Amino acid sequence: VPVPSAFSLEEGGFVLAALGTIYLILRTKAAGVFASKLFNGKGSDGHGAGQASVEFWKITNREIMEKVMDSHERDAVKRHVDLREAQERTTAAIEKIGADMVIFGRQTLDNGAGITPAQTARLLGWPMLGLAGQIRVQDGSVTVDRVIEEGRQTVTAKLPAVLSVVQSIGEPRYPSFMGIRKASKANIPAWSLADLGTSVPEPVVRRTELMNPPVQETSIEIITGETPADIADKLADKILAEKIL
Amino acid sequence: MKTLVYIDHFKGEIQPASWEALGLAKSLGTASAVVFGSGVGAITKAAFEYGADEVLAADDAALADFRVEPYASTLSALASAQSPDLILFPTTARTRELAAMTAIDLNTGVLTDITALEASDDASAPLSAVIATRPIYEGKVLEKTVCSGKPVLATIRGRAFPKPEADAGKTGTATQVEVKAEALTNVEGYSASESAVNLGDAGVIVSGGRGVSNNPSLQPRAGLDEKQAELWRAQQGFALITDLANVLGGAVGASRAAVDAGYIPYSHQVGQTGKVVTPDLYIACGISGAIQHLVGMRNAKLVVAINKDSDAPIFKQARYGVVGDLFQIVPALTEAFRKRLGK
Repeated sequence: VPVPSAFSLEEGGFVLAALGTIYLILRTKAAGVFASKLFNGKGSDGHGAGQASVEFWKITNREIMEKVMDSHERDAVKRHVDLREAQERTTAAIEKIGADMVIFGRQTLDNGAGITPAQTARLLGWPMLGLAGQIRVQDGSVTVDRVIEEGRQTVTAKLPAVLSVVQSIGEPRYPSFMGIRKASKANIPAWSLADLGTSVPEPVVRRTELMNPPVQETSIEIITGETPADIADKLADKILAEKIL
Repeated sequence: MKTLVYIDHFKGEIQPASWEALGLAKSLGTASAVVFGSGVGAITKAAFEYGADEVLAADDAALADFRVEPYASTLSALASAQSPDLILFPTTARTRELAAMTAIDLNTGVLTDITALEASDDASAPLSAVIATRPIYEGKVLEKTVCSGKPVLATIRGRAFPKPEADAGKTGTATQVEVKAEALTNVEGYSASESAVNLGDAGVIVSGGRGVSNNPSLQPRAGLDEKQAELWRAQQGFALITDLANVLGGAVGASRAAVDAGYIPYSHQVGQTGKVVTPDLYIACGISGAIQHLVGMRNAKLVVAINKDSDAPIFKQARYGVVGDLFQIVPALTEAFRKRLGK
């Protein structure tokens, strides 16, 4: 997929497609339908990338390709724990398509684990730029501002690269009525394991039990008093008596 | 059981949950602390003080910045040589990536953000060294998971396990390990966030909600429009909350409503779309208690709610409640603790 020599993305998550042709790799049929609605959705006005996003609009209307994995993948998603095989499948699909950049959400369909982007990068042997809040591409390199707990970090890597993005990367578009109608007729091709040239690895991580969390103590004691100072004194004594400070 | 414990730090600042991981490892058998970076002598020393049986250090200029590829390669090579049963990490954005890549290299799995761990001699999990418990769906459900690979990699949630006492008398000599320095990325710059706040490790959190801007007795200076006046009021309100947090040695949290209104940066947000926290004491001030907030704080040991509305859902979650004006109660409470704690 050709990447323009320079572009900068500061807002508009789906304007990422200004890069060129975008391929969505989706693991469920439902996600495919949802995404095709978004991509056929309302035009690019107000999403901050001007001409580039108009280009995206044309490209995606004409050429968008969505790859939906086979039903085995859906079962894996249902089990919600078997991540390794999902990563291997995603990697096989990326290698089959060929790409300059792969962009994930921070915890892509992995039961909150947040390990899918890094594992895919490792399997591809590509650099990993996680938690990007801004992305700039120039001359075959990508620079991201990472939003980490301690602040913002600027990191550069040569393409191809794997990125994960944080929520502040942009606002998703919402589908138009026409977009929804078009999407209902969209042809979403599906690849089987054989198409991807891969087989199912034995799952390593398994869930053995689901439990309700322990019930919390909910009885409340309302502290009252004559004055705020009086209430505060009583409350402070109660808290200190709990011996947790 | 033989465990490697990865001591996570950012520019020498150690994630406290690293020591909790070390304590957990000790309770299971032998614990080797793993320290990567450049100039990590102080961290190595601390690892011995917190009870590490040995410290395996990769101290190299190539590891000065955390970059996941060389860190993962170094850790994978070390794990291959040491054959541990378990590798523990504190849960951070760095360790999620590091554990993820190391698991690929070692052909095993990762159990993330766990809150309980037991050695497995259970027939239900004959192939796994450990059984881990982790909250999913924002803590609505707990799952038990096992990993049949070896070693098992697990990242532990901060404050879920007891922190061991440091013993300044304990010392040792770190064993140098081989560095795999093939980096694929370049760190070009870093700027600290304006209000670095680590809610995950805080023992006390005092949080404010939309109510912090509702102090009718405050009169903003002339010339502010409505929104500016609201923000100014909110700042005054959060100043009171910050005072209380400071006296208690705690951190300042916020509800999504307060963050969305622009009162305080997102890094303070507690809840489903913010941080899930487990402090010993959580004081909610002017927070009504929307479900998305409650899932972020309901595992606090002691919850105190201060709200004008006696029907606010937050009171259903609280052990102690005050139905009243936070602008009167919070400063009085700050004063009461100041006296009692001698500050």
